[in-house]
Amino acid sequence: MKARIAVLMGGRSLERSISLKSGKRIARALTERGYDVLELDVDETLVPTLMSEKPDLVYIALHGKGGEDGTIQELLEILDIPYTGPGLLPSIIGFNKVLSKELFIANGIPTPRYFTISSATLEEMGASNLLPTAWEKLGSPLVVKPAAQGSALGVKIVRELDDLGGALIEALSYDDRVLLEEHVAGTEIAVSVIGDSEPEALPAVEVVPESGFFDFDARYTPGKTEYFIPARLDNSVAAEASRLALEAHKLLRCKDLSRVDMIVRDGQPLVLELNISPGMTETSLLPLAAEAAGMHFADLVERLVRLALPAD
Amino acid sequence: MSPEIIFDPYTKLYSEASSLMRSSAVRELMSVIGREDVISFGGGLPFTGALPPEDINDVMRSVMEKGMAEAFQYGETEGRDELKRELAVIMGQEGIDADPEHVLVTTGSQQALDLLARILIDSGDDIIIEGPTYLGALAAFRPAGPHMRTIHLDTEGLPVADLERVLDEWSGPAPKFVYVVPNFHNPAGVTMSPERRERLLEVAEERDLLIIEDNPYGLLRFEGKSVPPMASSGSRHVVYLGTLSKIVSPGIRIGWAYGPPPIIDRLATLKQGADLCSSTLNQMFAEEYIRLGYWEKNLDVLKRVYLSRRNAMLSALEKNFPEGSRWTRPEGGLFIWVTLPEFLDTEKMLPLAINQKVAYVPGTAFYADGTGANQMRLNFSYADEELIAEGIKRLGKVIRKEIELYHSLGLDKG
Repeated sequence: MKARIAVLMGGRSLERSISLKSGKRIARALTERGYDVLELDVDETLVPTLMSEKPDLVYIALHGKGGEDGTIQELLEILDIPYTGPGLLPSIIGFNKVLSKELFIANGIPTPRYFTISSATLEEMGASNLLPTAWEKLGSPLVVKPAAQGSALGVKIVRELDDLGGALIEALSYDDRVLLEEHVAGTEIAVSVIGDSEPEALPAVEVVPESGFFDFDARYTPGKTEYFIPARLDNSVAAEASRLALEAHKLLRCKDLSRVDMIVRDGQPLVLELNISPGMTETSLLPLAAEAAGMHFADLVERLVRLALPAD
Repeated sequence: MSPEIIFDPYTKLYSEASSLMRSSAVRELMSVIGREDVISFGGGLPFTGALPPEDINDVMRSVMEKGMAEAFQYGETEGRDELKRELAVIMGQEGIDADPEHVLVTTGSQQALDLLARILIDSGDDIIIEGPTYLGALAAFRPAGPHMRTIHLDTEGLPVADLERVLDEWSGPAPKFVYVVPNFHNPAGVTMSPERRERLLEVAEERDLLIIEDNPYGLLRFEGKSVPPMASSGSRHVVYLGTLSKIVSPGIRIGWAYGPPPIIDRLATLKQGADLCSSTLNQMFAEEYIRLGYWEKNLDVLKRVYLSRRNAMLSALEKNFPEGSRWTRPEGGLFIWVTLPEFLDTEKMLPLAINQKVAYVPGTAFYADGTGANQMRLNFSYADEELIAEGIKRLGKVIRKEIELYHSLGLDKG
């Protein structure tokens, strides 16, 4: 008898529809593989449902706040239900770009220079006076992003100091803390890491957005971005990218899975962030990387399930 | 082997018109509003909960008795004669003395907009639209590739003097038509004054201009005196669009076009290729529903419900929205249009609102000229009075918080 798996998707996060796409695709694959699948759109009935349905495993196909930031993981720890993904600690850290970047810096993992600013410092401490200084120190253009938000929602490249305020307003609409990050012109890649005691890095995926900016439209409109697998990198650079992805994965104490997004400048990969619940849609990067490594979508999903299920 | 991954192998086949479509972050955000815990003023959903099941059963039974085989068969492209007669009766309520022969039944009035765009617009042609205007009209016109000239509305609807000024300065081929929603405008909530309607008819006559008069909400007047549609003048310069979506049900997809026979004929020819005919079953349902008089009963209920909800929203706006905001006071229809202080951007603010479990549609979506950033459309027909009060309270807080943020960045000078 195969395991009973609850696939959590949707929810009230701003990435709800992407999560529904990921979740339905995962549920279909698991059903095909003979698992007893329960699809759950997360709402206020979630905990009672999990308590009565008692699944053997929860597959977390949630993206964004609530699903990717440790919230759901904490509930599952209390419920004592095993779940997919890298675990509680990496969720809390990975979803918070400030925490993860500080950890990267403290441990010698290269990451673009940045400052962080919160709505509270703007409103209560006059932090807006610092913007020209930050602009000067980071150089233009710079990237403004919400500290906690996925799918590049609220992310803007700012080329003129005059446009910085507007970009802050937009990013602060997603989260009350934002990053001002130096803009790195280079090759954007994503390296997915899979495995338990000996995690392995999958081939890097290179993304080349038509607009030059891998924003929401570029991610989810077919044809707006070109993808190359493996990324068109020198062998030594590709090896360095894999090494850094594994290091970031281990540093954040990830188990089973993570996707590390990087940008390569003059042969040096810089780590942008670590994703704990990477997209699983038709155009998402992790499934592409898995495919290139010879793993079909259902194989990938089943592998993640096996990693998360306790040994018999 | 090239490592490039091609997701969509059909990319080379797509037409230019279809390439104008794309994923949008706003659409992604709006997917959250279907959730029960989010109070949404975003949709344009009529209150279909008012339809009494026993009336519907009655109508359905009558349809089946009249002719089940017929109901499940193809029908004439122009629409069923029986329905066209009933639609003429509905138009008669607003003062249009319509000849049913000149009515084309369409699959929602949205189809009429699409067909009109295709028989009238060649790529590069000019058309004149209102600003703001109906989103669905922009979507229907856009693939035909027109240049859209925007005339901005005021509280009395389309300022015809502005239109005349634009036409005076016009160079090149004349605009193909002017598209107006004169009653309880979506999204603006305003109604075009009788004087302006008369003047627009004169302008159309003087300059040989075609008016597309889209009137989905005219019968949903719950206050004030009704204003006759321009089509009631019998002018050969008006193509009139009607729909049962707001007075019966949007789910049955029944709308119509009424106007000069040559235009109606051409629309019908194109419709043949589009869908052969609108659903016969739904047409029969509609004609029975109207013939048996249920529609007027339902309309009374709707008007009562909407009036009360509009009042709830107006008083909540008064109480909760910050100084420097203004909004329309519609005498019918489904929408209130809010203009916030100049410096605010409702699209940027939307995630903040959704995180506070309230939603609206940002203003820019309703313009073809990129304006409207400080505006928003609020629907009052769907949520009940209690939810409206709570939702507007939440939205008021969101706006105040946003203003504070602009202030701290020195961006609140407009």
